[in-house]
Amino acid sequence: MPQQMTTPTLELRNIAKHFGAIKAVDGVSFTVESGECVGLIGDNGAGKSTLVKVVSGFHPQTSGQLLVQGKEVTFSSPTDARNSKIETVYQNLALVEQLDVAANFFLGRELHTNWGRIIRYLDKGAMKKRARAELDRIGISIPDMNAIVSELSGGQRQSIAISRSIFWGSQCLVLDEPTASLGVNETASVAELIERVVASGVSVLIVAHDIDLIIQLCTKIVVLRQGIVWSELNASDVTAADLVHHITGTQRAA
Amino acid sequence: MTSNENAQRDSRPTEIFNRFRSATRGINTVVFPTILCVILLSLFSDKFFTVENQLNIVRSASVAMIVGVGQVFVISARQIDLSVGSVLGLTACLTGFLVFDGVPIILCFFFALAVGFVLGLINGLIVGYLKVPALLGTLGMLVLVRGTVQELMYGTYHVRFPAEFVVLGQGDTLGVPNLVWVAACVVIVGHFVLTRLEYGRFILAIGGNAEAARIAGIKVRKYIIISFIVQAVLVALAAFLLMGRMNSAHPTLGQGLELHIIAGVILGGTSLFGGVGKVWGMAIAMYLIAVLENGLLLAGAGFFWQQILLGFLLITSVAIQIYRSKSGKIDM
Repeated sequence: MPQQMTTPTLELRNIAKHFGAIKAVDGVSFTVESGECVGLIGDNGAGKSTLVKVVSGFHPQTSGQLLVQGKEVTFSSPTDARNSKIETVYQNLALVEQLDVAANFFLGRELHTNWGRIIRYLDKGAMKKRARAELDRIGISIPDMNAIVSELSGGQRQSIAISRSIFWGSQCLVLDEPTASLGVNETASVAELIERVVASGVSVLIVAHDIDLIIQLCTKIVVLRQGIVWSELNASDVTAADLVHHITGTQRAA
Repeated sequence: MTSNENAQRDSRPTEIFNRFRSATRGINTVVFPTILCVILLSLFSDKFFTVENQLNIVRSASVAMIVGVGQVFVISARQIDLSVGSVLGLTACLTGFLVFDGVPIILCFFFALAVGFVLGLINGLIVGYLKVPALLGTLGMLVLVRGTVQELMYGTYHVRFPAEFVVLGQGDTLGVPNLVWVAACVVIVGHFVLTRLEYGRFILAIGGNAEAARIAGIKVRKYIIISFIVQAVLVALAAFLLMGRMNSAHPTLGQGLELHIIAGVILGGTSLFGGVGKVWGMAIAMYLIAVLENGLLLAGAGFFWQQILLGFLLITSVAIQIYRSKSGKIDM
């Protein structure tokens, strides 16, 4: 792989995040190359969620550098991360269940007409049209743009959240447990969607407990343990059983 | 592409059906009991369905409708404002002093709105910055503001305002009470703001899932504070009109109003759990409450019966919502 030739989409250099005396993340380095799918796994408390929160701009890191397209960035809010084209899709926090599909698609970035300085009139028709067009393009079938999100299945919700991030021009997609709480068929369709996203050239970082899913989708797997990179593996070289050994700490490949 | 076109053609009738469903969603809980009550009362009393009596009912509901629009915003954002009655009392009494000092009415009007603005801002800051839960923060303000107005008036009250002031609350325009005109405008504008403007969308998003709203870049605290200000300014508008209608301003004005308002808002389909706001539903619910009160009055039952009714309605409407949320229909 010509990894040295291109600039990584996302690079973590010695990232540490301490909460008082607790070292949740203690010097983590790895890269996500352009168009690469990287899996981040580890036991509970290994530092995965903290690391995701650093990358998505929730917590600024205590030390270390974060590079996007080779440029160092500092995030003080999730909006900063988004402006650097890093979109994070959270397990439960992504959508407002009481609003319809189009409203969620454009949440916080509504299309509007300005009436004077402060009155912003929503262009509901245009939002519905564009949300519909984008979902069709990615191949997600949502019959009704007026459907309230709480009426949709878990797979449909996750698909909406992922395609929303793609639509907003994300170059690096961070997926936090994308298939937790999904059934078998829904997991398969979300996995297929992620494959299409990767094929389209977007870099993806997946955090998941589902080891089989990680092996299926990712080219590189980073195992966190006690706040450090315990192992960094090629997905084609490992089996699910190997990964369990790495996660529990009985095997190591740093 | 053809399958896509087919899908679009097939979804036409369902699109219309869904539109109808989403337009009527939330109102259905209150529309049918309202129609039932109107029919029953028309049968029992031939006075009930006269134009005069209907205008009376709508006029008595109009103050609640004006205040209710603000409360729809606040509750949609998953907050609550219990201080509305006290804010009404303080605004009316303070403005009363200006009216008697001969200050031009238009200035009195803006003064009243400014009092509302400041009190709403205080509510917003208590909830937004001090992080006091709205239920307790505004409960504190309910007592604090009521205490302030009682201390200020110290057993006295304003009465017999100048005629040109009174006409605002008591007069008619084109045969319809001024109060009703104002309430209609506030309800229409409120509905428009909630459903068509970015502000309304943000309020619903915050109420539905504050964390998702924050991740989406919406300034949650700012919009919560704005909704408390909108609520208090609308209360001030109501206070200004009510002073004229009653031709007086007592330090007890608006006592217990919060229950009436919240009952109407919840009855109208606004979700107690945030994320769903129904301005029209609220207006119909306020009309229903006024109809029931009117019916009690025609039947010879007094004020205490109205209180019993209001308490009953509040508990019933919340219980219905809780029941529906358990069956997974929180937004319907």
